[in-house]
Amino acid sequence: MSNIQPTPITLTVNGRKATVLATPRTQLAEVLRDQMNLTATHLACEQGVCGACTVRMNGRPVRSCLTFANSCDGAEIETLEGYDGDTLMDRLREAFNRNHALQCGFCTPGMLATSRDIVARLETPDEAVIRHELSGNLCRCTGYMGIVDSIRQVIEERNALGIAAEPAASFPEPDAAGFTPFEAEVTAAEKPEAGAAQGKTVIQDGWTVVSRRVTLDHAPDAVWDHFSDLNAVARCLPGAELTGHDAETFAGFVAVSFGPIKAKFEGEGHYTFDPATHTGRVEGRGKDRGGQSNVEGHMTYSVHPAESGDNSAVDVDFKFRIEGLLGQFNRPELVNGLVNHILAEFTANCDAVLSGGEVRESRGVSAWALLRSLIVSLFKK
Amino acid sequence: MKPVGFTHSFPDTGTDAAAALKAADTKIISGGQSLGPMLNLRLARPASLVDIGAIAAFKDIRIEKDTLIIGAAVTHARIEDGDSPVPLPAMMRSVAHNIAYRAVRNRGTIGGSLAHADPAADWVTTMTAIGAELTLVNAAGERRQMAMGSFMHGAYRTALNADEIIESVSVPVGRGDAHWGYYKVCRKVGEFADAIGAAVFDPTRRYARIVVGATGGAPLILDELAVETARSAMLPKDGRIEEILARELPDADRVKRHLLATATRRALEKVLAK
Amino acid sequence: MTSGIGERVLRKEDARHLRGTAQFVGDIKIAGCWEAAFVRSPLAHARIRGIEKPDGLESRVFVAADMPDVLPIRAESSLPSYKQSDYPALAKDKVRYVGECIAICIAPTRAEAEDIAESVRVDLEPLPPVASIDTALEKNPPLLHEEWGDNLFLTTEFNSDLSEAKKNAAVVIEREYNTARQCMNPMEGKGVLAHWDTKYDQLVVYTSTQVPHLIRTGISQSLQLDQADVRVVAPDVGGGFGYKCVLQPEELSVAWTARHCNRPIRWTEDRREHLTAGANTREHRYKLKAYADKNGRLLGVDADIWVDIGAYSVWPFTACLEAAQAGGNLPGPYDLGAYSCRTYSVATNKPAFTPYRGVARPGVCFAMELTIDAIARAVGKDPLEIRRLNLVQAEAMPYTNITGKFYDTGDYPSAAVQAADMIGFDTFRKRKEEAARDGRFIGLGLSSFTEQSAHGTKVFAAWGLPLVPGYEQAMVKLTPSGSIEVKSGNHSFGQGLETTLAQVACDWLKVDIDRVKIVMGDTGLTPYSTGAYASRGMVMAGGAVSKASEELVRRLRIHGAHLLQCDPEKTEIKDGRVVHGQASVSFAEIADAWYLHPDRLPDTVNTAGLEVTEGYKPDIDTGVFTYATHAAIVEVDPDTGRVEILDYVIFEDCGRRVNPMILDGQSYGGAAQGIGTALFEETLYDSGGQPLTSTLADYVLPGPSELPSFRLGHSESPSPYTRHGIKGVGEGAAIAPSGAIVNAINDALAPLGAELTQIPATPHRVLEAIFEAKEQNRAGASA
Repeated sequence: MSNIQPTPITLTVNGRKATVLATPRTQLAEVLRDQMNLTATHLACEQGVCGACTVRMNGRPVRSCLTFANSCDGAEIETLEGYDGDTLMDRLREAFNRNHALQCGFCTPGMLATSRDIVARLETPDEAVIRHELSGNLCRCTGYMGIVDSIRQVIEERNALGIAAEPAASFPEPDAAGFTPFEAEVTAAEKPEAGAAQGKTVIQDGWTVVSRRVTLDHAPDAVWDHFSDLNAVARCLPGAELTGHDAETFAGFVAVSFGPIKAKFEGEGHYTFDPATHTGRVEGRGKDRGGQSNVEGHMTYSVHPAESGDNSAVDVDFKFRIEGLLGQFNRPELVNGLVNHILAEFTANCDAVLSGGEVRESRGVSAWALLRSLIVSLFKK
Repeated sequence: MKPVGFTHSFPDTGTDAAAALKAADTKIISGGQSLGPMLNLRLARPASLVDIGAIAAFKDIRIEKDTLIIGAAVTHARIEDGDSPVPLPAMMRSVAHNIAYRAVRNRGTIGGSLAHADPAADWVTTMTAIGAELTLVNAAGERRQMAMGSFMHGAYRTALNADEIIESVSVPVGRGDAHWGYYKVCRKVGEFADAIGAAVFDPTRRYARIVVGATGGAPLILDELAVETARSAMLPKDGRIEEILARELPDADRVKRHLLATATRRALEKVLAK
Repeated sequence: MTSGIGERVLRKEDARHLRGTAQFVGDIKIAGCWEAAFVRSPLAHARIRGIEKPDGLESRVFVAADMPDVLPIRAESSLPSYKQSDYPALAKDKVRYVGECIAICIAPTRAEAEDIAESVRVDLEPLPPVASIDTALEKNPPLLHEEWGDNLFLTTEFNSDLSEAKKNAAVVIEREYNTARQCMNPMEGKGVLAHWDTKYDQLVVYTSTQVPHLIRTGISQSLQLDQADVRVVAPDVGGGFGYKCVLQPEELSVAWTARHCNRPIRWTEDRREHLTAGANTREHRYKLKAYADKNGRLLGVDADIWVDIGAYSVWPFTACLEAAQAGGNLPGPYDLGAYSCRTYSVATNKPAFTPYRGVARPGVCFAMELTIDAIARAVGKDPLEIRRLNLVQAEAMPYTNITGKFYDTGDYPSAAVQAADMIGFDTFRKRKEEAARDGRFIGLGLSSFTEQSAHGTKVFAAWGLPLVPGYEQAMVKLTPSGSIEVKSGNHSFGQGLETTLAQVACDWLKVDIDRVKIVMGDTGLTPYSTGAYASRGMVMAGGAVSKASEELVRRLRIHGAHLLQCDPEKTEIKDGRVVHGQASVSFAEIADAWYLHPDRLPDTVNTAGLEVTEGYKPDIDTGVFTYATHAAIVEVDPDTGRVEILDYVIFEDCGRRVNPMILDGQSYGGAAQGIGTALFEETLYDSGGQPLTSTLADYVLPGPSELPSFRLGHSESPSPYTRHGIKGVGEGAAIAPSGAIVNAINDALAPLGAELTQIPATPHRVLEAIFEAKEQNRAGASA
């Protein structure tokens, strides 16, 4: 458990100044709900999508689930318990009631916070624009009909009252006219780092299956010497570390760093090397430190002479799957990009080691996919 | 769904923030709109957060000579609203308007989005198309410039060194004002893009760039197509974009490639009269 | 002013929500309350080899072995061939879906409870997962419940003779249809707070539920407590839609832990828990053959229906309800001469199937409505004509259909015609041609259904449920201050029952609606009700309030007549008074006499007083049938696969409308969810049974920009069998959208030769269908 002590933060909420103690990880919504007893603000997704937790901070709607306590010190916050004497909010409340803009009421506090912002900013009540502006707030009950009507009506009421819209929300669109041909110059310098090894990544029976051929600038025997040394292979795999191995099994961990995502998989596996065919097979299973995810993977590689010269071609096939929290996202292309990158790093490292050099310093990314293949014994401490 | 425990500090300068990165498991937080969900989901598990959202210099927008300089901690909403002492490119305002949702735009920042380097995010593609340069500062206070086209290496991977942060983003004044197009395909307003097309033409500087975003990796720059298009002032002939994408993204499935080609074509349709 | 049945009364419940003072489970403050987090299975199917609690925190973590006195949730069914599953509060030997609870961890804050949960070590031995219907039904599949010998909860069969239909068929339509697994996503997730009340020696459970009295029964059964020792309170509930109509394992763990630790404990479901462990509904597969004559008259339907039930049978609705409803409702509003159907309730390593708004009928309606349009295309007629031809005709009412459903009243073809008129069916072909000239693909789709609402005792008994709803009770009381208090054991989670039940009371008592207080949701305060589900709330609780109000009126007239010294038969009720000619006495005066000055009443007064509890069920037990036709016009972007809804019309009939505003709201909201089903919502799994949609960025809920501005039309054909002619309406609008929208998409894509048979119709599926059609055209051209 975290030992980080709470620190005082001072907020002005609904016009009242208060100092509360909160740990840095405390969400603004929790400060309001748990410490200030202002439970109008609801948490419904904590992923920044649904908008139920929207409150006004320093005059602007913000997500109170994605705003942490310490970054609010000194802020002025308005929650649905507040807005005393606020004409637009009073009228929105009336309109919501009149137009049946709420059923279960759970999204309502966030809806009103966003609606208050929309009616303050939009000059005219265009339905498509209202719907677009409202798109960060989800309602599961009303189909948004009464909410959209309410916003439209209160914009009209605001205009009738002669209250001007806040900063003009219009912005220019591109102009398709007036484009005349010209001879462009391109700067070839702007290219990301050299492309990774190419090959197919497919999802098959829940496994991500990657097949790659990489070419190394070394003779097959030398390459096989490298690839039949588990320590040497592990050293080249960014983030991986062997803690021990015998002739068939190994134990170790792989630290994964993928953007802000960090995990460390610990586990065991077994491996076989066949010098006759220059083929290796490594299988493993592991579990991350947080206890919420597992990886399982199988990797086989075979070393052949390349088509030309003294070079080697290494065919790598590996399949892996992630179970638990880290695997529960639907953006497979991200993982594929990472696999490519790790393979490129791995290849570069192997190349460097075979050339008598050192493993390169890894930049921010470590094995995450390959590593999946290096581990075992699910849930082993 | 609550984050792991972390400390949260607020350095006064970019150099101090970069220096703080030397501690283990430290993450920069700017607006926290991308990092926040990952913290809540405990996918990101930092020991400490270094907050650059409050560094005054990082919120500055100014013009120096012919260059517009936007601080890394400028929010999407300020760009959307043109809340700036100097004019902002129309393209950037329009793109900002369609990032996520207003409440997210009020906190999320351009520097944070670029450093986060989510392939499906708007700024990485937009700023590549517009030919932006980034100013990076490290713990020693050293600065270096980097073209946006070289900055992003892949999904969540950038050229930033371990003790380096983005200080500001620079754009040649006037670029992205007249001849630009941007088209985003997504399933729900505000959510991750499935495909992005972006095109910027700046005849006075002989600049032409077409960028395909949300590829799953770094934005793809189609220089050849940009030169052709600038020369002809015509939409690419049918199948031309698909042919280039088939070459550049051989592994992408046919639906993804079709969406990317469609977004690219539609971005160009906004620049070029049919 | 009174606000009786039929009036557009603004809602009583709005004020607290608009001020932020509503009280959901998460908002309740009880001193000393700790928060809970669950350790959940990361694997779909595994044997538990061991669980290790973190050092020094043993007293904060509880596992199945700690609670041997908690019985598993056991939904028995009297249906033959049904196989029982024991659904444990915490997994003991095996885990059977990703997200299944393994341990409960408690701490002063949720964050700290999650810290502890992360540090619990669970040793799992992976077993081969059953992640799909296909895997479950393989030869020698992995078994979820080894003692069963297969993976089938239940199979059912309905047979009638199809030989004539086959012989006379000019057209045979054969299709496979698939619907995705979904999460219901009420904006408030599940929440439970339990503590032991020492004064009453009673477990008090605040829970976000639609069925507080059922949960009380369920908790007392599993925790082996007398029902008098359990009080369940449903406070404000942030949406339910069926998700909150079953006993959940977390309710048992939280209740047990609170009792065991003698400390208030709360668990609040977060969105990730909901999107993974709550992915429990809608997944069906149909293989269907329809026989029609050359005019498009349906002659018979032969169907196989598979339902992916998941790992366990929920209590009390069981694993049987969905498939039984699917098989029984497939003929829908159509006059069908021959019908055979086999259903398979399949066990898989997924969360336990729970009835969601519309229960089986969204899938059934989708399958049938696409089939009707396929017949129309096959015989070259328009889909409206085919519906008019095949829908049960008004003059046939009341009508008993081939599966024995008794359709009470209505004019089904008229609803189809009215919906078509509203959306401009007649002129649409021209509009479509014009759009095609501009290179645009637009299409129109119709979808008709009938919904058995408020099905009663016999229907539930026929489904073999362990708990059969019967008489719904309500209490109506004149308070000492002359106001009206209504107590119902039903519950409102957004449907506006606080307003509509008050309207029913007002209809009898003629008082200002502000003088009527509705008390609901607390088993300590309200008479037994099985709760709000199956579109029964308004019919059943409304009927009960009506009956109790009627009796209260009778008593008020007797008391009033005594005070007025006249014949009760000569009195009437007006504006909260008992009136006799020019003389009258107010309810407040009557209350004052009964409660505070009984000396003013005769000794012969009825001592039952002014507090009336009545039980009610409709005159028939077979339910009353709401019906509607939805019509949609969509535009399909053939380059992005995006479907835009250009117009959406609902023409519905739910009998007498108690509050037209609230009814419209139910229709809008139901249709919005139905559109989610049609176009957006899908829990994706990999073949290992891992859910891939754990955030709202992965699982797409429609927002305001994805939904149309709905247009509604109504007719009213009151049921002769219910009080006030009311029929249920809560679920209906969620049923038809998939049929209307996908029919419209298929209409739009017809020129390309593409046809979708799977929902949601995501851009990816639309584009794939177009690509495939192009390939086939190419292959056809080159052949």
